[in-house]
Amino acid sequence: MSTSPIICEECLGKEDDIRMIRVPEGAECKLCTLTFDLFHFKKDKRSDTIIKTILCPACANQRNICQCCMLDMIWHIPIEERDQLLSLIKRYNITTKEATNEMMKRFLVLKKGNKQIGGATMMIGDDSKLDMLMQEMRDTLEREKSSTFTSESKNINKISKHDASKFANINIHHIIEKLPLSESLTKENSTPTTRFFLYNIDSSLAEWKIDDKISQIVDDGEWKDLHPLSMMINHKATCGTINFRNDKLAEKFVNGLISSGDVISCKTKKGEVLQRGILKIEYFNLYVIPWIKDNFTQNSFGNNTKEYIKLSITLRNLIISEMKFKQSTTDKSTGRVTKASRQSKSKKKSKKVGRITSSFAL
Amino acid sequence: MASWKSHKARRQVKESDLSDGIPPQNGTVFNQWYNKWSHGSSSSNNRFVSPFRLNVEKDSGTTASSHDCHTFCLYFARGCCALGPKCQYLHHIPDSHEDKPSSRVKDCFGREKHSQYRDDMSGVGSFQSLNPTLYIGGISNALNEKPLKPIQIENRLKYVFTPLGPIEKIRYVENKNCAFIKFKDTINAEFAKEVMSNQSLLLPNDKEWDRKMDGMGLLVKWAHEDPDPNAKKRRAMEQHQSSLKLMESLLKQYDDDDDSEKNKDKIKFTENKAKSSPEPAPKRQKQKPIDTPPAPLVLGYNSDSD
Repeated sequence: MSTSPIICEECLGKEDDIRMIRVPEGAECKLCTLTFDLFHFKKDKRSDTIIKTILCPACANQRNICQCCMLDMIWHIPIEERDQLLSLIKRYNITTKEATNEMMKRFLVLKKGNKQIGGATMMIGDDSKLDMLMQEMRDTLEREKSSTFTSESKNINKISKHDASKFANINIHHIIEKLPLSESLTKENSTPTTRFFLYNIDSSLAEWKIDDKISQIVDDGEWKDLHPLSMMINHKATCGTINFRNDKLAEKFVNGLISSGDVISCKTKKGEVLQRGILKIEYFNLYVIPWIKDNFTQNSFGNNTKEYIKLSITLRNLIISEMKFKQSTTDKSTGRVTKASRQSKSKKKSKKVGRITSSFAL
Repeated sequence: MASWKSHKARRQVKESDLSDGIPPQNGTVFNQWYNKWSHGSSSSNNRFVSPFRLNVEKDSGTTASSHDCHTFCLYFARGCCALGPKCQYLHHIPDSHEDKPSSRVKDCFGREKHSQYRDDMSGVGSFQSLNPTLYIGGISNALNEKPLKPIQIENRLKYVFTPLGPIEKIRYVENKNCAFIKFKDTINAEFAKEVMSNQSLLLPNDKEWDRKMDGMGLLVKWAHEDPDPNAKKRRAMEQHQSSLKLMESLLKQYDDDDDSEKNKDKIKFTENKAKSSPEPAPKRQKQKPIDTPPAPLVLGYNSDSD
């Protein structure tokens, strides 16, 4: 077997000449635990970092990865990502399974034709093989772009009937009463507030994404202080709250939403028309209401998981009712009667919507 | 510009305040290599509250680290770097935009990762997959048994972990009295793990603050994958999206490389034409820069041949 190391261009750097030192049997392979000839070097003479090989050439060769950085030799991506990518292209599951038992690790590297190495075999070969793979990748990308994956993803957090019936007996009137659901997002609020209530927060939506989006709207990365209540997101309850450092930032936030047209109207049972701001993050729409009353506490979304889930069900129902109102108003404005509006009217007649009352009780 | 760039890092402790580094005796033989006592009673408890703690705002700053240094100071993270501005490593909170880990096989402190996680999920971690989620245990001990509501504990965790990097999600599990904190990036999770290990959850305005050293610190470990079916679906979805993005970038890179090769050939062809040499223009050789393993560069000292 050749004694030369398998090292990618990224690790070798741009220098033409590199001084590389070889230490026979100098290290233990991180994957197979067998000893191998260690090589260590610097990218350039002035570099502080010493790069050394951590895998034996046999393991690196089997997986078609660099002995130093463990990234794929062709695409320069981790094995895990390469397998995911190839799984998408080939339409079957490709994974690299590493042995956990020490004996097995040694056995697999010495045995020819290790079947646990995932997509590495697809990468090793001549140019035409890679060209074909790239063409398949192009086709996959076109195929996936036209698929309805994003719409499917929205259904992950749908509340099942089982959940709805399981938490039907949980009483959260005391929580709903304190939420600012009857407030409206307008430019001329009688009492300016720095706190806002957010709902329809998907459980996959990261807090930092909400933070980044708000920073983008108010053009200030430090719009909140370090207090944990300045941004409290409860993914179980699918709602949360944000508190700006001052009135100016809060005003800027409201103006930002209104000026970009990210506002919807909804109607209560009393006939009162309310406005909700929409915070658009990726393909999620978060609804925003000002929290005018000074009644927010850290228990405002409940005290336990059951209350959180019940609150999420209630808010989900609220959103459905609000969407129906939006649908009916848009239909009225165009003068057309759509199937959705007919359905909503018939449901109103059957008083099913009545469960979501003007005060948004259960 | 980040605020830490405008000033030099602070010396967190004086050298005289540091202990000799030998942990309290709980065995008969001291292992100098691992800095541990061994051969004693197996029930020895190594849990303690660290007397040092990182103050993100005050301690962050520039150091004597080189421009290509991507390694963070482990002692800075633990709140006990006596070198301050003279330290050769970085003294600030990792920023995913600027501070990319030098290698996937090393953590942000330059320590080599392992093939597998340790059985107790502590330690440096594994290079097999990126794990941005931390398990937080020993919460009651870290609070000196102070009775708090779940939401108060969650907020306290949020208060102490938020300055250490962008957080994706914090979940406190009431029944198990543990929490899971998912960071945006693995680099922040690696850093936060060192910062918060063996730290108290008490705050200066608590009555119990003076007795915080009597308790035991937080137990911060790597989290296993979330077994929740919804979480699995979400993970699959995220992976799918990232794979598509990766495909786009790879195809773009592939096309660019192809174009650059064509242009090179075009230039060569026109040069040949200008010379009006009788020789035909060279045939285009399709080459990809990241195609086959590069030729080995074994220069210099070879101890095997000696």
